[in-house]
Amino acid sequence: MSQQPLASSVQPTDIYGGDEVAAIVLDPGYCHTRAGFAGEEMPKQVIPSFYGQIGERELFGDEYINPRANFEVKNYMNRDSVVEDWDAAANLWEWMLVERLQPPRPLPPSKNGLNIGDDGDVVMDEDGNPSAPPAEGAEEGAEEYEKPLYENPLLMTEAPWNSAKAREKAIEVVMETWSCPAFWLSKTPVLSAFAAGKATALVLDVGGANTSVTAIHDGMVLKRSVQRSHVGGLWLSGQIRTMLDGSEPKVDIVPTFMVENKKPVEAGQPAEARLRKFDFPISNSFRAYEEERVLTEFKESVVEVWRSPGRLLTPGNEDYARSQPGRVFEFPDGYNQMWREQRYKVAEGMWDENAAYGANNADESSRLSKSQTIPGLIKAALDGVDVDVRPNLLANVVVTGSTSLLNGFNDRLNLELGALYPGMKIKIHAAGLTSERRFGAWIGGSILGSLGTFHQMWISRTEYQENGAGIVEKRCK
Amino acid sequence: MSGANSPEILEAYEKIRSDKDETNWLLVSYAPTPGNKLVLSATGTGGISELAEQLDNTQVQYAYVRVEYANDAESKRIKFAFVVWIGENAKVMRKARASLEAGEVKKVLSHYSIQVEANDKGDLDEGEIVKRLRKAGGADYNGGRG
Repeated sequence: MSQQPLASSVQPTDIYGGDEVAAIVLDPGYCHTRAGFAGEEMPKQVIPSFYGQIGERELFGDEYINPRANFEVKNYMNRDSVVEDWDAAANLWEWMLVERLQPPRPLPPSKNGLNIGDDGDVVMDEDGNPSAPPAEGAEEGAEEYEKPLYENPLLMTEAPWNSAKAREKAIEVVMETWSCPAFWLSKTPVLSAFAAGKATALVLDVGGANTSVTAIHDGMVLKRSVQRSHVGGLWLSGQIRTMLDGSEPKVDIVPTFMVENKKPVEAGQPAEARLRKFDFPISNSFRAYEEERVLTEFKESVVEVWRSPGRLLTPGNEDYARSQPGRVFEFPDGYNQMWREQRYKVAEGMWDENAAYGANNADESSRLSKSQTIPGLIKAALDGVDVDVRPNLLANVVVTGSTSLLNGFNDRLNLELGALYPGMKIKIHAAGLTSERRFGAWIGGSILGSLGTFHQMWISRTEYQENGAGIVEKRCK
Repeated sequence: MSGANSPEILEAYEKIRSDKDETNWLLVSYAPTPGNKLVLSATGTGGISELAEQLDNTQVQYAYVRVEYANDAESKRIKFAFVVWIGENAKVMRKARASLEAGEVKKVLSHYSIQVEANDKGDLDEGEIVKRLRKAGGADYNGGRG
């Protein structure tokens, strides 16, 4: 990590509390939030960033999202992949880190062996219980040790386009609400490149709400290269919805919770299912969330990216696709059919703006522009960096994000890049394991947080108290 | 804690650099378990091709190799290359530590003209490496014909 002047011969000396306490790595995204301990290979907790709300009560975790009265489904992030609702965010994160992750709680001063007086006596209060001798600044710090994250440094991730205000708010929440001893904020593409073993790379992150392309050089983000578009997992779901709406016959997405029982039907025949009746109205947000679940299954099992020859819109290719063996998908209400060329068509918009559903809309703003496709994003990113750096970046393209797990994605990417940059060496690094693609940024954070040399880089609680929230802008470049 | 400066590795390094010894490549790998100790795992005289065969797909390894190529009809040049091999099926934590630990190894195997990052055997094509070494070589007495 060349941006910090570390004396490489210096041994890491500070280990918090005298024991090795594991740092916590928190990676919030639009669709899911990931948390776990640094040094581990996978985040222990992965929960949806969507949470339920009944009146004033907030319910976190997938198992609590059920059909109930007055139940709304909300998200603390917005579609730009940045935190919007800080109160809900702090609550969800705290629930996740304290209730679910359960880092070992710090012992109160009377029992942690550090407050025994010189003569071996422990100070007692009138009830005969050991009481802590007053520490410095005792009044406001008195309950700090009781806060469950008091001993755990926290490493959080952020999108490369996150605002300075959001960064300062993040360190405030962590330091004030949870009293963490140390904090660091890292940009997701840097961590994803790190997880792939690279300090210089062009990171393509195909996530839920956004797809972004960032050039990383020696561990630092090249700011002018950051590109993003909304063409991610949720956009793909939107394409599928449009496709289903327009197909003959029209296919309704009936989520699982609505189906009481279903009868098997022939492919293409209307569904014969009995739907559950609820005494209360189902909110739209809940329905949309559940429909998304069905669409995710559809994406995982049916959708593929068209590989070759050429693009899908090249004359003859669509008919060729129609003649290929398709995949069957059964919806929760029993409706099933064979999907052929449609399964390529829904993903084609990511590559070719003319192939997207809605490309012929009269309303220009709803159409996809060339710069929003993946090749468009990469071209814009590389145009924003020095010419000399480009070959190195193209030879180190790191692909991450769960939507990149679509069958045929990497082959198509190779083709498109080869067409855009003929003659240049292009090497795509895409982890084979699904968990590495889904949790790339978290894994990078896990490694960073467990490095000996990194201990010197954290922003400590004292530094925060002395310098205020602005220190995060100076240090976490 | 990495053991990169173990006497065996230093000895092999000197052997490669010496004109009198036939050894022209060495391979450093991680000791089986536990921890991240680096040990010398192989040396040889067969050059890049022999080295490529020894690389393990499930491991992160570092290699140092001596390459001789003719600059023009009369003269021969000797250069050294440092290879960082990140196997496709290596464990994710190993992969991620590679860029850091490479730095440690480089402190020991310090003299080299180019660094080659390889993920599969095809990246260690002798022709490609010689081309890069030529470019790193500065003066080209062959009039640009390479």
